[in-house]
Amino acid sequence: MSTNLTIARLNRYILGLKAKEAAPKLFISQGCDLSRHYRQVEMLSVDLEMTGLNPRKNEVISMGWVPIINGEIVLSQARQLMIKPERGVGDSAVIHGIHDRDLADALALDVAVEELMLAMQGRVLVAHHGALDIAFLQQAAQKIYGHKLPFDLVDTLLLEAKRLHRQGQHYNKQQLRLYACCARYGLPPMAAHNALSDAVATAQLLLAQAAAIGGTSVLSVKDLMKYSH
Amino acid sequence: MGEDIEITEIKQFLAEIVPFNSLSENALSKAARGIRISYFSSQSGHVEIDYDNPQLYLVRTGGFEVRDKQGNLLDRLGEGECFGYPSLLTGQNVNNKVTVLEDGLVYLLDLELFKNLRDDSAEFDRFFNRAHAKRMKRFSEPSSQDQAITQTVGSLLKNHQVISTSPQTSIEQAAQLMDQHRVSSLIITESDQLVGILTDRDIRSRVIAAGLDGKVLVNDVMTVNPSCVDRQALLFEASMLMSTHNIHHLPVIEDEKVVGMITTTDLVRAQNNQPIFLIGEINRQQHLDGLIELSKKIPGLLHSLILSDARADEIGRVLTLLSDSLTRRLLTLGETLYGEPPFAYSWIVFGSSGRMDQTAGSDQDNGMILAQQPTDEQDLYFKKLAQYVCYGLDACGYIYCPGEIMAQTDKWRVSISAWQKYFDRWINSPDPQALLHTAIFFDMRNVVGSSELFEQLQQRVLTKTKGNQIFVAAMAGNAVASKPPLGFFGKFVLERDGEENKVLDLKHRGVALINDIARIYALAEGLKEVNTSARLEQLLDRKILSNKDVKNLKDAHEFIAHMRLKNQGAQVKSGKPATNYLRPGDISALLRHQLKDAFEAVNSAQNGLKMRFTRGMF
Repeated sequence: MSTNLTIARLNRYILGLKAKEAAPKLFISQGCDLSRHYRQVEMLSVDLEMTGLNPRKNEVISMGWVPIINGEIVLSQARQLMIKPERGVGDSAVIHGIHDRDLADALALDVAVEELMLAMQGRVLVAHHGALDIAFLQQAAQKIYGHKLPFDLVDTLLLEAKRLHRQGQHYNKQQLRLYACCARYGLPPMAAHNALSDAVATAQLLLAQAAAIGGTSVLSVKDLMKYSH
Repeated sequence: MGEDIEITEIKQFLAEIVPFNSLSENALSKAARGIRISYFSSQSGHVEIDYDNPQLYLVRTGGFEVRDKQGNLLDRLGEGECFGYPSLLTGQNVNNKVTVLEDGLVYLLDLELFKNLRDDSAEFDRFFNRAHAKRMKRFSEPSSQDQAITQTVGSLLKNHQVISTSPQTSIEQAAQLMDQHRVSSLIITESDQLVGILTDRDIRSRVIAAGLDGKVLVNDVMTVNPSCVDRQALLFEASMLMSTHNIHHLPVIEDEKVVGMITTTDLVRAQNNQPIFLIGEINRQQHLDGLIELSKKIPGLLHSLILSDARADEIGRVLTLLSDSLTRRLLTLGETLYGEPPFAYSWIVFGSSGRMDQTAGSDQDNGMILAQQPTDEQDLYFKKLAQYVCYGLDACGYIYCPGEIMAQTDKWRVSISAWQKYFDRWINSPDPQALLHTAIFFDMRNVVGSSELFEQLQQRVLTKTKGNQIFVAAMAGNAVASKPPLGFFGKFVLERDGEENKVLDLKHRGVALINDIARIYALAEGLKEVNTSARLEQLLDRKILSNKDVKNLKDAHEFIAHMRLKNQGAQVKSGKPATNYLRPGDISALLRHQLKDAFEAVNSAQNGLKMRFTRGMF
């Protein structure tokens, strides 16, 4: 992908970035007070579908997200974007069911990332196994903006691992998969490997986990972030 | 791009639950897109309702409980059920309190979305209005007391399908439509307004007999502005209309819309099914064959009773009166066949016939009390008579009792002193296991013959059970061993029927438990009443049970029995045998929680019974 300078500049402007600012603090979650109750901070549950697991070789082909506002998942602001990969979908179609023909009207990666950044503004990122999603986003950011971005992440997979660990339970990778975690809280099943469904499932999982961890006490976003590291 | 994002799973969920399933495709998508999802934890106690922004709460997972300001339980809710609608409907601050019983996801729909959905579907709107009204008045009142008089035209509209076409259709096409739907008439509408009807007879006399061909338009042949009848009108009125105007078809109207058509045939059939008509016919029969033929009308009668929403209580009584009539007639025919009895006897019935709450597929449970010890020859006479009656009942659909509790069994055709000994043994040494099998004998009733014999036996039994703590405790122990199918969070506990469906047993875990409770109190008090509702009324009169307990139990009994009958009606209609098993998914969410309330009432009555009689023995 050729870096489109105009879009990159536009994004810097939208995101309040000054040119060449190396490591801008708080640019995404700016305006979020992380010490507040998690219900009072806006969050964005995000899921990416990729052609593989290697951020250097593989590409993002779909993004889904849904905001959590006042502790409620707001479906009317949910989005799902298809992204045209430079190298085609390849064998990964087997997993996510997205074929090259489905991506005919898809967006270019930079346009999609720009949309995501707008949605992420002022919100804390929520993802299940977020490290992978972030690695892909950083790869894209590097291409588009020429540097990486600082994300505030609440990772539901790590939250779950910590919870199970604290309860003295042994667990394996399978038990930490999004659908296994959702089932543990009796949450309804969603279609796996659909970016938006996964983002909604992740958001539901976070609400269930926060209720289980928090009980009646006040749980801040910082607490959740700490819990998921 | 991305404007029509919707989560398939959520739309599917909505599409399957009442009343969202009545929404148009469009409205369903709108609902699925407009939802906000919240999570409630039991640790936080209750759901904070913001009355400035009322919304509809639709439970996706978990369990919730709604109580009014005074703390009375209004509703208990699980998956697919709603709360919060009173504020949405009335715009008032309704001070109900919602407690979280079990953590769960709840879908929230705001006022505007709720309004849009109500505008989209009249059924959706009606559902919430009705749910609101019903909550005010937990169980619906009887809709008809006297079936023969109060049956409405609407009750005859078996399928709501209206076969209609426009006046511009050709006769040929109209005739094909009639043939395809196997109807003898069509409703003719123009922009949804009734303009005429077209009948077989019109085609015959105004087209074929007049030498016209099939290309002629319906408009030129139909009967314009036909007489109509309102859905709520009584059958009697429809019948009057038809005979005064000498017509055979009447379009049925509801809210100015045609909802069906009834014919003279429908009316005749409806009247043929009337119990009074049937009983009269039964008494006129001279042969068993005639009785068997008439008994074939009973399922149809049961079906029309169920359709007309008659009370379960009434239906049970009607069915029992019919089997009583058959029994009486069979005994008369038998006595003609085998001669006069050598001495007096009483033909008694047990169990559901005793209580007068028979249902579809009840088997026969009967016996004979003989005035004295018979000689072998005399007993042979009674045996033949009993065999004739039991055979006849079996042929009429009241199958032989699998447990052999029938007058044709030697053991259950004995002298009054032998009967007294049976009861003495059951009462004096109450073995819980044995009592399980003998409970039905305590619901006995005289059908034919000497009522003195019966009363003598009953009096003796009641004198012995009255105040008999050991006997009553054993009975009560048995009764509370079987629980209504409610789990910890008020969820249904389902069992499997023969076909691996998860079901509720409405008989053994519902009505039977209430019958047990009423029987035990009645025996402990020495009451003569056998019918469950009559027993409960007597217990109220004697201040043994409180007004509230009796009302709750009677309501629960009626409600569960009603659900059972409705379910059996639906089973028979779809060609399946009638069973006591209900799949909760087959009924609306609203009925499901009413059913839960009914089971809850049984549960609390069982606890009362346990406290009073078992003294912690069981």
